[in-house]
Parts: sequence; structure tokens; C-alpha cells
Amino acid sequence: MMLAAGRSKVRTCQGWTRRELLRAGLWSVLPWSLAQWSRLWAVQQQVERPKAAILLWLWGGPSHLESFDPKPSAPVEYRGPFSTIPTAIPGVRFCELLPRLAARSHRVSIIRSLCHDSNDHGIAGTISLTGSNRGAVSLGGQTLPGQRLGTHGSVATRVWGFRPGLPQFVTIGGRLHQGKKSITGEDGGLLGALYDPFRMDYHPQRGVELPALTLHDGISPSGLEARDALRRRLNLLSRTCEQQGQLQQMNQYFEQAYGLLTSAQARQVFDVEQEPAAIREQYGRHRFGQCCLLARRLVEAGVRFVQVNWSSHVEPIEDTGDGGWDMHDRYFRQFQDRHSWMLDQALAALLDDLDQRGLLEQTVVVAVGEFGRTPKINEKSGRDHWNQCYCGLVAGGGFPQGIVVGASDARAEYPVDRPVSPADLFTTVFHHLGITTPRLTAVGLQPVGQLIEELL
Amino acid sequence: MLATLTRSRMFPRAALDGYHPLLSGVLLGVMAVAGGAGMALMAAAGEPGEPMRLERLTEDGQFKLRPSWSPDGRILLFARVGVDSIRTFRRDCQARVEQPLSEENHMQWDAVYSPDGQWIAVTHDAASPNQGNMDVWLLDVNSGKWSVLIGDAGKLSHEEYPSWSPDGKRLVFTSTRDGNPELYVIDREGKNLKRLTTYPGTDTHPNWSPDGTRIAWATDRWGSLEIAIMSVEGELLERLTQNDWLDDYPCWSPDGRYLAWMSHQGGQYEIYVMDLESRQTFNASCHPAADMFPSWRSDGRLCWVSQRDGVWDIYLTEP
Repeated sequence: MMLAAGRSKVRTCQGWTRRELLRAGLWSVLPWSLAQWSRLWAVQQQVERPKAAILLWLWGGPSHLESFDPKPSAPVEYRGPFSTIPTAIPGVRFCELLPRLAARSHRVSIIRSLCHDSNDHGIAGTISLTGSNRGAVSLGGQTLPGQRLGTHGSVATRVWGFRPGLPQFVTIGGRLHQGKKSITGEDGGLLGALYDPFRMDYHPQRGVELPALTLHDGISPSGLEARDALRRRLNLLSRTCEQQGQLQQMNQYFEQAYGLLTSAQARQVFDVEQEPAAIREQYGRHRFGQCCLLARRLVEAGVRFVQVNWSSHVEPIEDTGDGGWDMHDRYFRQFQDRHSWMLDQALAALLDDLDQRGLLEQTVVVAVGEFGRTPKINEKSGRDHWNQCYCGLVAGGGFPQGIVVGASDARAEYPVDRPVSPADLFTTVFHHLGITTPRLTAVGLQPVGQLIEELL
Repeated sequence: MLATLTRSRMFPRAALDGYHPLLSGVLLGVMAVAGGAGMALMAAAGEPGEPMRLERLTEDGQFKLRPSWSPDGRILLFARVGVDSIRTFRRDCQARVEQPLSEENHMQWDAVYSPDGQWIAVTHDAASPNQGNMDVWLLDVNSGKWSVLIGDAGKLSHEEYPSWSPDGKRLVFTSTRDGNPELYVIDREGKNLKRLTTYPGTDTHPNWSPDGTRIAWATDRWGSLEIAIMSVEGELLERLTQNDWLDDYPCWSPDGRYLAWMSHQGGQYEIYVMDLESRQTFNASCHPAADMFPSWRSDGRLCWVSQRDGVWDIYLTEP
């Protein structure tokens, strides 16, 4: 009887957990490959891991029409020059230039109705990375009222607490900016600098770069400045903090973390050169691909929240920076020449790699930018900012698979079903990470949005 | 009428998958009698079942845009995409040395030699770093002097992707000056600008035929980007592709018999070649990795940018 039930379920790969399969002893009768059994074993080993998250931050704002919500029937001024392809989700099509993600759509869920109330990179970035516009700084330099919340990785660290070993929250990539103006919302905010991310980056020619090490060597003036600011804040804290035990815990954390960053053992975690060439090429030997690989290595080593910044600057490469998604001009040529295959290759490889290692079920993956692009193509063959409706992708970590949440209208201009805010998205991400309302409340925080019921 | 010229006369779909369909027999005969570019491709195909033999011309691995050749086939032009720049380089493929086209760190790409080798036309980003402003510039190869061939028309527009007429007197290029990407021709002296297309979508990446009578380009007027051919007056002559995937960057062989382009058929970029006499089409790159930006050398050898060795370099079919 069990085998009869097993046959029907194994055929569709649904309904049975790997643990159940192991328990049932079906390994002896199923024609799986060694790799599949290895993966199963890895899942078994990893099942008790604490959950982690990888946020792929698509800075600049990718077009929702040229990704997960194409509109091939829209007028030519809207639809763009690309075709669409079917996905593993019945009736759902992606842009033709994302074939790997289309083939893996049964392992992800798509939100097609994200929206918020700002089309300014700075404000939208803060909204997306903190769930609130409090303390956001616009392109014009205006600071919105309110104390800036901590970014998602900082909030998660606040809930999880510090622990020996690697930092809990790592950002791969430089500080986000539009023009020469840095944005706010990618650090600890009101939680303080103690909850800022540890930063590192990958340069295609120079390899992994650790600003913290540069800071130790005294090479980077900005790093020294930040370190000095942190020291001053710690001193201030030491004068005012009544809970000396907590302070000692924080100091211990920093000493451990910086010590780890400088240790040979830790540096091995950061050394993507140790990966087999085939894995590196699977991710793509471009900055974003190798950053995604580095994110996997960090999560595997125990880091619990990794943010990968697609770029530091919002602008595409023609306009300096390292190639953001803010393609007001010539969106389509830039997308087909570079951005599409880089995203498709790297994100698909990350999903595959996490899955093969049994990490995907314990790791939430989110890919989203601060907004989408104007559905109507502008006079420079580009698309401008569009915060009224855009897409995000979630996978792993307990998220349901193959779900499409919300829908846009015929021209992808506005949600016609289930509008969702970035705060809702990350409240739901937190839910899957075990960061529930009671746990937030316990550290003096609260959810910034509502749970997306369809994704629970 | 145009549609009937395409799929029904193209090479059967099944033969376009897998290894080199040149070896299927039908095209082998076609190419054997064709000479020129066809012979070069056929030779590179090797024995039946073997992939195309290619010579790797660069080894730095950085992503590159639109390779092109000097008329004598010695100098390779290409743009190298760095983390924070796109610069054009001249590579002497015999001496195996290269130098930037501009010593001033200009953001430039799409460089092409004039037929007499005396000029290089290039897309130049004059406004970087900001929102960008692409213009077509000319380099006098002998003097090293730069000049603007065509820039904005009273408001920001993007002029790019120049292609020379075979007599070197005119260029065709893409511009957004009328609100969307259209094709235009202009004299080398920057006079007699003429608009060729008037479609509200995308018309782009033109390539002038060696006999001077036709221009191949990519357009989305039928849906996704397709390859078509027009007269030099802008009259649509023929739609070459009809499918549900991207086809872009057409490039004529030196003898005018073949047209190569980049196609996203099968979910990745490959280089396809059509024999314009027989209308047979085949996959010339045929590799699981991406292949982009085809360009013919004067001896009929085809080159393109490929990720086949895990990184991005330029490859040339072997003689």
C-alpha cells in the first residue's frame, strides 16, 4: 500500500518529503542517479540548519515587462521587442531572454503586483530595504521625516542575536547610490551601526575584496573614518549603557568577527577560487554571478542573511558604475546584450546549487529591485521609473513553489489583483525565517507589513 | 508574400539543432560550390559530427561587443566591457598586440572600419557619466583626429551602430531622434541625412550589403526582433526570419551571398547563417554556451564573441 502511494507521488515529485522517502527506504527501488541520492543525503544533513536568506538586490529597477510579467499583446509602444516563452507554471510566460528561470519556475513564486508610492531611487530603495520611507533621502536631497528603520538583514540580526563565528549579515557590493548621492536604508538605521552589514565585494579581475581587511591595513580613509565613527559610538554607548553585559557581548562579537575576517580559515569561505571551475562557470564569470556564488558559500558557512547588490550605482554601465538596471535609454539593447543573461545564468545557478546541496529548503531567495519600469517605452528606447506595479521573485526557505501572486492590467501599468507592498513581501520573508511578530516584539520591533497569505 | 519567403524555405527546424547541419549533405553541396565564405565555413566544420574548429583570438575573458575587421583582415576592432567602462580596442591579430582606440578613456563601442581603411566609425557616449548620450564619431586613422559624424538634433537622442556603404561614401545607423529607434543614412561628411524607416517600434542594427543595394536590419514590426532586408531607399524587400524568438545583429558575408546573425532560438544565443540563394539556414556556432555578435572577415571567415570556454572571448572560424 505504501509503495502504491509512493509510485503515484514519486512520479510527480510532489507530496513526499525527502526525509519520508529515506524513511520509506525507497532509495533501493527508485532509479535515481548518484547525484540525486547525494542531494537527498545533503538535505537530510541540512534539515536542522537554521534558516537563512539571500536577497538579490536588483538596484536601478528592472523592467517587469522584460522579466516576469510580459505583455506581448500590448501595443508596440508598450510591449517591447522581445518574445515570451512558456514556463513550468501553466499559463504563465516570462520574457524569452530568461529561459533558465522559466525552466525553474516550478521552484519559485512570482509577485506581479508589487507597488509603493515613490518613483525616486533613494526613497524607493529605502522603502524596499526597510519597509518604510522614514528617513529616506530623495535625489534632490530631501530627507523624509521619521527615524530610519534598520534594513532587513539588520532587523533579522537583531532578532537572531549575535553569535560566535561569521557575521550574521553580510552585504556583497558597494554602498548604494544614485548619481553621487548615497541612499539610506541599507544599514542598521535606528538599530545602530552595530547592526550594519559586513561588506565585501567581488571584482572580476581582482577577486574577492574585503573592505574590513582594508580597514585593518589602514589603506582606506573612508574605512578608517567609518571605524572611527563606530568606535566613538561604542564609547558613547559604554557611557550610557547600563547593561554592561550586553556591551561586552557586542564587543566580543566584533572582536570575533574581525578576527575571523582576518583568519586564514575564514578567508577560505570568501575564496570563490576554491570552487570547481564548472561551478564558477555555471554561475557565470561576471561580477553578479560570482557574487551569487559567494553568497552561497557564506550561507553554507553559516551566515544567515546575505544581500547581493547587483550594482552600486543605479545607472547602466554606459553611465559609469558597474551596470545597474536604471536603463532610461536603450533598455532593450542593454538588456539583451548583458543584463538578461547575467541575471538568468546567475540566479538559475544559485537555485540549482542551493538545491543540489540541500540548502534551498532552508534558504529564502529573493530577487527584487526598488521598482519596475514605465510600461510605455520612452523616446530614447528606454523605460523610466515605475513604482505603480512591478515584480519580485521568491524561492526556497519554505515558500510555496510555482505560485503567481497578483496580476497587472493589460499594459502592466497597475495591479488589478492583490496589490502587495515591499513591506508585505519582507514581512512574509521574515515569517519563513521564523522572525514572527512575537519575536520582533520581544526586541522592541514590529512587523512593517502584512503577511501575503498566498505565500505562506 | 514576404512571409512565404521565410520558414517554408528555411532549413528544416530539426536540422538546426545539435551538431553542424552543414554536414547533413544538402548544405554541404551548396557550400562546396559557393566558394568564399561558404568554403571557409565548410572547412572549419571539419569531419562529420565534429563541432566547428575555431581559433581563439582573445583570452582576457571580459565581455565584448561587436567585433569587426579592417579591410585587410589584420586588425580586429572590438569593445571590451569592464566593471566601469566600455572601451574599444584595436588588436593586430598577426602581431598579437592591441591598443585602445582612444587614449582618452572614451566610452566607445560598435567600431567599424571604412572600406578603404582610412576611417573608423564608432558609437561614442559623450555624456557619460550621466544618463548617456550616444553619437556616431569618426576617427581619421592616419591623423588620429576625431570628429562627430552625427549627434543630437536639438534634444537628447542616441545615434549608434554605424555601418558603411561599400563605396565608403555613406553610413547607415540607428537613431532615436524621432522618438524611437529608426534607421538613417548620412554622407561621410555628415550631410544629407535621410530617414529610412518609420515604424513606431524598434528598427536597429543595420548592415549594408557588399553590393551596396540592400541593408539588412533587425525590426520588431512583426512581434519579436526579426531580420529583414530593405533597399537603400528604405523600401522593405524581404523578411528573412519568422519565428518566436529574438534574431538580431545581421551581418553580410564579404561576397554578399550569406547573412549571419545572432539568434535566441532554443533559449540561448547562437550564430545562424543563411545562404541567400538557396535560403538554407544553419547554426554556425552550435555550442551549449552563448555565441553573440557575428562578423565576417574579408577572407570569408566568420568570427563572433563566445562564452564557450567559460568566459567571453572572440573566436574565428579556422581556414
